[in-house]
Amino acid sequence: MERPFTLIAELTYRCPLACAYCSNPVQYAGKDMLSAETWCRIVREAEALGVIQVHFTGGEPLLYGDLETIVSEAHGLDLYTNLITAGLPLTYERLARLRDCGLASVQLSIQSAEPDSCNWMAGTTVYDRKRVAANWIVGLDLPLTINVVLHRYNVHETLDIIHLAETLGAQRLELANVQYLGWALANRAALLPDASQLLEARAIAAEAKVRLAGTMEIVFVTPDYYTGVPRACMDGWGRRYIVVSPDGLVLPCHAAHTIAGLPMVSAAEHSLAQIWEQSQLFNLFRGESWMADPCRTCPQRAVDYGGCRCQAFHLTGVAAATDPACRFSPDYTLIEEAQRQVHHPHDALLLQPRMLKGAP
Amino acid sequence: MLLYPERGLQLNDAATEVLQCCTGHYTIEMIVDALSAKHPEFPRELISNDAVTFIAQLQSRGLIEE
Repeated sequence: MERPFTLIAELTYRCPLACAYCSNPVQYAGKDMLSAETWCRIVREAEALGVIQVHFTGGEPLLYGDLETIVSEAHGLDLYTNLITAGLPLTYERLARLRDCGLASVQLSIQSAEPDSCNWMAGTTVYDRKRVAANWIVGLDLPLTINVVLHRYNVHETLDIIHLAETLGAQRLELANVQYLGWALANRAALLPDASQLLEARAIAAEAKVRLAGTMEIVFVTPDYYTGVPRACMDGWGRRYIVVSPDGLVLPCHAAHTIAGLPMVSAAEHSLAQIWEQSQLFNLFRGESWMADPCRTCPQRAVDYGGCRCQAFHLTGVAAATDPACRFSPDYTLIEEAQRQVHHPHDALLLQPRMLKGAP
Repeated sequence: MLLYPERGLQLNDAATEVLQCCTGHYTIEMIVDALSAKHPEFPRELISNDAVTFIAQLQSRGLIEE
């Protein structure tokens, strides 16, 4: 049995931002049900299973009132804790408190290097507050990762984004192209950049990577829509990651609960160990026995694990299908069709901002 | 295991010993001296090569500073 390394604790799906590329589920009732006490138990069970890193995320994890208690619990277990945040709502005092509770690092999202465009994508005025948050993070000696999700509206800013991250004192910059799930899939026609824009951005990132080696790590995630190769989603289903959603579902990935018909399991009913080892959900796409052709005999199956199950389901309707992002997939035409649409942007350029229906 | 933001490095025994010496108080030369004294079964040159290479790798990842 593989051992998980990372717990992704999605404390709430609520978020003050409304980014149209959000990977959170499109349908969500908005209930956050887990108490800090339950989260502490989940963290303890994860540690006992072998987890060494915890990412606190969401939605916006800072909207979870008693984050401090959970961070303390994780730190007390010698886990490496990371806060994945939009940087608001936040005060210097709270960030200092989180650091004193044992928070080890912070990943701050920025939507664009250009203030108006950043605020436009976020759906609210955030740019200046994010810069202030970055200064607090660095000032408190917390390692800062800047994450910028790249898409058609900001991919041309790659160099400016790199300079901004340098100015802010980031140790790490993630240039993560949109993964087309959740709200991002709904907005795909408007968000997907064209291949030449991407190649240019990738070349700029590669050059900066060399220049900044040892100072700031740059991670450029090419979108699987243009590589012909599926990404090794979550490093394989039920292999390295455990995700717990705001309402306590224990998932092999952020979006597994959007695949219709999968047997869901809750942390309220079973221990993480039971779920990791025995649940039908975690064993469904574990290993290789579930694979169909062409994955079944493909030498790459040990590298990409057949790609993303959620993408397979949302694009083909079949969760066990080969990820259509793979050029060997019989459904690769779906990806080619999406690429062709990029050159006819008049078809659909309307961005649907992310919303949270029924949130308190 | 050396943990840092979003990553981890699984270190072997030799790497662990070198990293434990990287406290900011010792030069690479001093680290190699200490490890050579501790492990007389290995030639000093081998320890030195490995330590210098490993420390350079950590530096290139921004994990240690001069």
